[in-house]
Amino acid sequence: MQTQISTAELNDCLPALHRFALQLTRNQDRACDLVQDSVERALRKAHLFDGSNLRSWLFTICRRVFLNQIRSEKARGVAVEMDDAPQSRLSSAQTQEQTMHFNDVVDAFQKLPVNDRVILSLVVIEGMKYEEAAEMLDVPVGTVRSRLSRARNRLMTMTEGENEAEEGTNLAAVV
Amino acid sequence: MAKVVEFVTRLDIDALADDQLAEEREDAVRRHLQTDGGALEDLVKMDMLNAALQALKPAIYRDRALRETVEKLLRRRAA
Repeated sequence: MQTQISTAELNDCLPALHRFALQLTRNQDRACDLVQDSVERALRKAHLFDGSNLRSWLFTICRRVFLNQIRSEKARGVAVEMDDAPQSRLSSAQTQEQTMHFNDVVDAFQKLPVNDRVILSLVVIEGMKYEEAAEMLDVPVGTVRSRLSRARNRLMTMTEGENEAEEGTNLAAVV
Repeated sequence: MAKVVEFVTRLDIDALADDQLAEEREDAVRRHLQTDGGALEDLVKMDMLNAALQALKPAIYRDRALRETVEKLLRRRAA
């Protein structure tokens, strides 16, 4: 079986993967364990990687491993030190909240103004460089970055249930 | 000697999350993250959001008009 993941690429992704794991677990030790488990799983399943976006693939694996851990912990109960108990409860509540957050993202994304959806699709989903997106949309790089920032702000605000998108949704105007 | 203050903006944080931070900004941003918990929290949020969008790509592209728009732009780049 031939792996399609290079060590250098994997190393580049590790800091972001660790931050992601930390956000999921809210615990430094558990985050390290989660990263370890995720990387092990990724290497075992390297033949399934389509070669397009390693970071995205690792994040997906990380989330699945985490959810599996939560499910098995729920099934067998988790032994924790008394000092850890409050944090553990907090972590569990935040995990449920986070799962709901993921479910809300698509709905919120669809409510974004067209320019926001396009710029997020090009840069975040398709992995395009800011310069490439700027050239494609015929705008300065600074405009791409500020649009992207506004788009993320809107999306986060909407997923937090604080606001609604107000602008139009005419995709034809973009191209 | 005058002290040089390096400003780190939200756009720097976004760029780091997108893996598109200019090399010459990396040191300043990483130093900033070590001292500003809010900036680190923003970075984690950006990472989470990016990961969610990437993982949800199939669901997001069920929006046919968006998918076709993006495909059109990508074809334009390839041409």
